[in-house]
Amino acid sequence: MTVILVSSDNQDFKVDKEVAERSILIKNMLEDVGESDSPIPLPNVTAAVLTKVIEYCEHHRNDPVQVPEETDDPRKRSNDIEEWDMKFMQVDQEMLFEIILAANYLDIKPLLDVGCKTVANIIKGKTPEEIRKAFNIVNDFTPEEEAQIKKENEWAEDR
Amino acid sequence: MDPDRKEKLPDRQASSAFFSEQSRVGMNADRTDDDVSVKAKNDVKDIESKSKASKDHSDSGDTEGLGRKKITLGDMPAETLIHIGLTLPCREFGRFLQTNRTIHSCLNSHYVWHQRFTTRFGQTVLEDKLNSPNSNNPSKLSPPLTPRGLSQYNNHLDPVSAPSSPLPSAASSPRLNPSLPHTPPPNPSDDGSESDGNGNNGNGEGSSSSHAKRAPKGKGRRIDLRRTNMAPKEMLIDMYKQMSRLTLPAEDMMIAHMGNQFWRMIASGESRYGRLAELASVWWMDVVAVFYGVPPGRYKVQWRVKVTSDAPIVNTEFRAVLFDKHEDLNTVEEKPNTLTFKPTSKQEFIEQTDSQGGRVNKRPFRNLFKGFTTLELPGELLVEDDYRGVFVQIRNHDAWKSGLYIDYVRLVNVDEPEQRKESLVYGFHGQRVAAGNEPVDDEGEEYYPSTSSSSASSAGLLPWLQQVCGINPHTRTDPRPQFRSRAGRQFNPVQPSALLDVGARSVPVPNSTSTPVGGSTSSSQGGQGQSRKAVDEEGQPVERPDACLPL
Repeated sequence: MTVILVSSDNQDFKVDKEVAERSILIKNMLEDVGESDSPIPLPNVTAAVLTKVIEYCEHHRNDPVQVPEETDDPRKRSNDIEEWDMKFMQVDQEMLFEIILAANYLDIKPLLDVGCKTVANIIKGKTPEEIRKAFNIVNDFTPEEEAQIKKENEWAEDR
Repeated sequence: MDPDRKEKLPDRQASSAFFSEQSRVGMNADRTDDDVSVKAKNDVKDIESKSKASKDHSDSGDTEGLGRKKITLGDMPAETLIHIGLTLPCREFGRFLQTNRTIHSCLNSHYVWHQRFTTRFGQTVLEDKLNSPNSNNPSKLSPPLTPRGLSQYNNHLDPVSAPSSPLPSAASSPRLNPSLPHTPPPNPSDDGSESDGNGNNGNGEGSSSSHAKRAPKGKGRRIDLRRTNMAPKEMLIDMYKQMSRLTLPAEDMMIAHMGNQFWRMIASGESRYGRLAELASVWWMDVVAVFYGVPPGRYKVQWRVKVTSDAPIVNTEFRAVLFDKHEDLNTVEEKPNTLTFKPTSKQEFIEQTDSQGGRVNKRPFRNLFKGFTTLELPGELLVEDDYRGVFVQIRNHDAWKSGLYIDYVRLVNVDEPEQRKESLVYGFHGQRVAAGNEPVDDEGEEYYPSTSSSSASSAGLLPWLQQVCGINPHTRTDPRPQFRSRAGRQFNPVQPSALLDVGARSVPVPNSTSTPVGGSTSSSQGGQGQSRKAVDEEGQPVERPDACLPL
């Protein structure tokens, strides 16, 4: 059974229901809508991003659906991204963030995890200034604040 | 925005300059808004409208196409930032907090710290800490929990200490109580007032006995989440700081019979922590340290100790056990060893330290007995997939021993390049050669300066120097065979008579459990017992230069 997803720029995407239901948001919508064939609008996701998202869901369509686990699940470590996922995530930063936002909106936890791990991997090994440069973050601390926060977090340097 | 700002920006791609401009705009607009999540909702719209507005002013175009919002990390909704923050390891998290205000206020929250804490250390320790009577003083930094078995010390006291120590009952001692964290006594001067002879140490009081009766159930132990969720942020951060350490000083170890009589804490400049645990004399030697939340990786366990006699190291077990966050700490001690090392001889011990080999140490035994050495347990701890705890222990429950100083114990992550250097096996020191195989290269002149140097009674600086440095100008090229292998010496006790012609030093009798440390003086020729100092002809102790020892 296929469903139709409509991106913010009015592009239609036909996907299998099983694939679409990797997104919990879509899954819930489909349950609410019932057997109707009407397309599902996704106003927060553009076509380019939706393409990527669908690609991910297709590839992982057979993965076991993750149940919400306790806080101490092992997903949170950055060193275990699959190879396919790593290649999949080799996009420019903007697309990376878009994917993360889309995964967040569509409630696709594995994709969100992979996205965040990718960002975490970019952050790894960088000093605060380098992080700012990498992500175009503006430093809006005053020098005193900056020094103070640095001091507060100094202990983390060797942990 | 004024065009001047753009010019001050570092040289980047035009689009990047444009978008950092834009994100600054976005943040300024929202700075009055304290609620980050509200900001997040408005984010996308703001950026979009402002991007259109700014575009009209700027020369640099949006290379991605008109009207598309460009997102930076700072513009991500709070929940996403939090998700990223939770994925970061400790060091990167600290650095990430320093990048800007939005990120800092989003990530330096109670929720995030709670999540980080429980992910790394688990809920069990959090609950235990909260249950301790010290929980109303969250700023007090307690050392890690004691996992000691409840009944272990109940009836078994050191045979000497039993009559002499004024200890009411072992069960009420907080250190022995599995539910209570081991804390140093509240009084700042804790030089010996924290012995288990003093029972409560200001910690257990009335509640300890009730806690003692409640046996934790093990893996299925239920956590009261209402309590653990209520731990304040500052307390969580403090506990995180304390518990994430991979180096534990002596004062944060659980040392049985720490007090005045058997073990004591002494101030010392030789330790970077300023304090050492000094073993005066004890029968039941049991030192435990627990690392919590050790990140995945491969680790070597290192103890920095000063050993002044055989007894505390020979037949002493040095072990390490991995345990999960959820495991009942009482059972950890009984678990099978992950790593274990039990030297049956001084030689074996030395092989695992940095006191041997290399160009510098011609007299390793002497160095071992004079200054600090680092013992690295053979084998590696493999922590994989999840944060785990590491329980390390030194134990020897037979016979009296004395002459041990403990500085710290640490885990060295050999997967991290900077730390790998610290390992004896992988690092710089690690030009150590497997002992026993290496031919002795000091021409047999370790303990036994040759006869001719004994004739250096002729006064003068040179003979003294030679003796002190172990230089024997009259050495034959053919070292006497009985001195070639140190290992051999261990098993063949040398008769004192054989030493008659070699000078003033005596052989330490193998496996001797020595007399307690009491600053023994040098022994004379053919004497028994430990000789720690070189003697010159007059029997006066001669100070050896310890220039080669990193102290």
